[in-house]
Amino acid sequence: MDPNAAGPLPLRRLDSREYNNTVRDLLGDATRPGDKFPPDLGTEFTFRRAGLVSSLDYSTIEDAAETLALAAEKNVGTLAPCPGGVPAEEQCARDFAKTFGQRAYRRPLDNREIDSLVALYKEVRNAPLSLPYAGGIRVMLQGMLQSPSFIYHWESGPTAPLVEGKLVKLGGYENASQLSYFLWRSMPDATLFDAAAANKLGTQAELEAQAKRMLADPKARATVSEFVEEWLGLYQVTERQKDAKVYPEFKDDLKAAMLEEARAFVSNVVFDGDGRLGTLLTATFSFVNGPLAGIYGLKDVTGTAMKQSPLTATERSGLLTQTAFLAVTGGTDGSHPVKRGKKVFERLLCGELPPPPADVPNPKTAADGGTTRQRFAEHGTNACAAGCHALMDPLGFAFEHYDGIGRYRVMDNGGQVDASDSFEIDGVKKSYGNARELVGHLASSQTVRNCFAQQWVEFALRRHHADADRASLQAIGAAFARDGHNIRDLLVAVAGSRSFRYRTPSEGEVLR
Amino acid sequence: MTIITKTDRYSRRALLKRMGLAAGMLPLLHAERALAAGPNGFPKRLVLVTWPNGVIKSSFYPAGTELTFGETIKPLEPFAKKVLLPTGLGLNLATYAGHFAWGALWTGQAKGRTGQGPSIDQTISESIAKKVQLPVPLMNVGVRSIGDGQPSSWRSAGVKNVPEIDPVRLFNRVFAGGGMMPTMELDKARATRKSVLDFVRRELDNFGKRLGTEDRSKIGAHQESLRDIEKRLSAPSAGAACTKPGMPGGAKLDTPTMMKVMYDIMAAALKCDVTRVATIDLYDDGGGDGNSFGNIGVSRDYHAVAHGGGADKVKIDNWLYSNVANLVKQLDDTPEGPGTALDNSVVVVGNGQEDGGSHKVSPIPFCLIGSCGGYFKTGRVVKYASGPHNKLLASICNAMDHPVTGYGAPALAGTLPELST
Repeated sequence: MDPNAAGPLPLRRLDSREYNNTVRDLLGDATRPGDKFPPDLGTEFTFRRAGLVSSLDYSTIEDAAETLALAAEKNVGTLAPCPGGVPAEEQCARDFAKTFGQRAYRRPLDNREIDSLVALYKEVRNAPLSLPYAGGIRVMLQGMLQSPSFIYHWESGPTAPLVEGKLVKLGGYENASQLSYFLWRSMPDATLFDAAAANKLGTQAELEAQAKRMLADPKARATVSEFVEEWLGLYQVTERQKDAKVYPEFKDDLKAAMLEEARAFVSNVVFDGDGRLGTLLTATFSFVNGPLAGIYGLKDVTGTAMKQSPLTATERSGLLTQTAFLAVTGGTDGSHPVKRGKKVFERLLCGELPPPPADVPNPKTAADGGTTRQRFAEHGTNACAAGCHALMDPLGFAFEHYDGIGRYRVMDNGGQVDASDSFEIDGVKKSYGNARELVGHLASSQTVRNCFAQQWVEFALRRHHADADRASLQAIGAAFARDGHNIRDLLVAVAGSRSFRYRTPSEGEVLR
Repeated sequence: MTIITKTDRYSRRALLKRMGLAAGMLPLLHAERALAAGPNGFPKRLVLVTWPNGVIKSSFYPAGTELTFGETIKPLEPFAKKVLLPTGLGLNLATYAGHFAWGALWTGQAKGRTGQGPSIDQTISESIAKKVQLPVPLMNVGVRSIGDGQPSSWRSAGVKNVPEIDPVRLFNRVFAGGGMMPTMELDKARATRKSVLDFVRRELDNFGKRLGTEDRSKIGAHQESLRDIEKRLSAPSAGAACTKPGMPGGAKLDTPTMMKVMYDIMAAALKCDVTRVATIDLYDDGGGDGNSFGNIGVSRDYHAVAHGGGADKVKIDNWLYSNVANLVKQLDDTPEGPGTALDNSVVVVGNGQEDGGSHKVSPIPFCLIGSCGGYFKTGRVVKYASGPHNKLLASICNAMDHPVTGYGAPALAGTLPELST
């Protein structure tokens, strides 16, 4: 293992959430135009990652830029003030390119870039368009918002990269953006820009100090919630459809409440509580409102507001036994041990499943009789059992006490629920009687901790981890362990890691 | 109804005369566009339709040598004489069986889930664009949701054509420019866009200079899209006489309404000659998890139903085909010369799998509707023992007047002459 290695940093562009947050912080525009972009959550990567700019992407980016610039034109007096009147206007436009441009491109502009923006300004001010000053500023803004320097994360700009041995060391502005988009999912604030300009954003200590500061900002709460929603796929709950005959209450208000519950719970544990991964996985409280109270069997909770409530400790233990996870991984008309087991295997244990075989018989339906487990067990004894279902079903059976929308049950389709099984975790076969016991094993598993940290690295760098990240992952893991696996410590360690501050040059890149 | 054969070479004037119509009655025949039309004076159109989970074979394939309509394709029975089932053709993916074959379906070549070349809709639309400028050279539409997999349409190796899933935006793109803005305003907006595009092109050219090979190709895709947008600036808009479909109000459309709206916009665009090549993806290439079909009484999960098979699966496929029939009917209700717009089109329904229970990618239940100006001999089933679907792709190119001897993977070259004789 090379302690000095670092992985690649492929060119990527602002995803829709980054776009929304960035224009909010850049222009004070909270209209979320990025919600109209083609989806950037896909099957190739766990987290949001925008694809190549297709024609459809281009036109949505163009539309957003036009709408934003048109709205911003009304504030031209504060955006690009020009007290000198007409004779000073071109100079004002030049100043705008330089100062505003530095925030939009998240780094200083070189002369060519400034000239190019001024040329655009002059072109539209001249005949035949003959736009007024404010219109010229609007079109410059329209251009900046479509410029690759705004759209892509490549904050080294036209300057040569800092080569250090076989690696490239990220510059101050690159670190500012990388930190900011990691912890805030938005552009850097003035403090980060100042640190970059003063060359005080390069060492591990400097990045970690900034990360600690940034975690105190509410924007970091949204980030941690976003991670969890995508890590476990919880965001899908609001789009899920269930069999209305089996789950008539699974309507929009309940779906929204499930997602809200997860967000409130995660935010509470990570930022108001002890911050530990173990607590996230085993806490016996959650946040509940009226619609959710029915699922949890709580009688005294009403209304739409989320209220922190203890759950029945013999029934619930942490995030995986809360409604959003159970509903998303549940079937449309019942529980779904395979889906639940798959999620635990892939996202908690970072296991890899072989591709599905050519012929997969289907489990029987409830109408055929038997408990879900009995029906799925039969499914698991067929030819493909050894290859794949042995990796999913035992983990999924642990959740048999919860129906398709997360209600606790002891009986299923007329039979007694059996949620006991065993699974190899950290190289040792662990037995469990139910989900609470399984979750207990997971919460103390080194594999799960490593897996969790690894996915945070992937979230931060927006790429799959690579061999070159091993030293960084090890250092991050040690920092994570220091205080009982506090997630805040983990995030700070990722921000200071070598994989975050260095990169391997890409093939064909111009390094001089 | 007579199908126009290749020997019937009508000039536009002769055609109008024969139909007894004044020139103004045929808004789609702008003089310029007619130049690129097929031999009968009307344009040829291609529609590709893709959904996952295969079919229940017994309800799709005719048992004998005659074309019959099982429950799955029952909605197409009114168009029986215009249906062609080429059976037995499959995806030749030596290393992969399972879901995720959309990357190969219309490209004829894939690595994993990623198309390794342009899909036929892309190729054919480019070929048409050399002859005529249409408002929308290629229409990519999807009835899909967040987090879905690959599209079926590919601009080039690894570069997707992202389908439009927002019906309002699609509608505006297809029918915009028709009196929405005063001409002078429109010209100003266009001129501004042009200046901004010039600026962006400059910036993209400079931006790409330092980047490594792979990153530069991302900028290349971006530049390519910029060129598409530039072409739109000078593209003609839909003719004023073009009948726009109604757009339902309300914020969020349910899936059945969305499906109908998308097909309706597509039908209108094809009829008005706004586009000649359209592609629609339904659900996703992974099995359509999380979707159910309450409107036809199937409330279980699409993917689960697909694995289980049975009556519910047939109901779903039948409903999906009834939506295809909606498009087909609109084309067939549009007279064009002695035939209809459907006769000058071919609608090709493909799939990523053989059936929902197995994960096999061969054979694929292809279904063609429309003879594409007489190129395909329809109203029958043509049975192949086996064979790569690449040959079908090549034949579709030829039908659309883009002559090729093969499509996709070079090793799988060839065409299917049996379909046109």
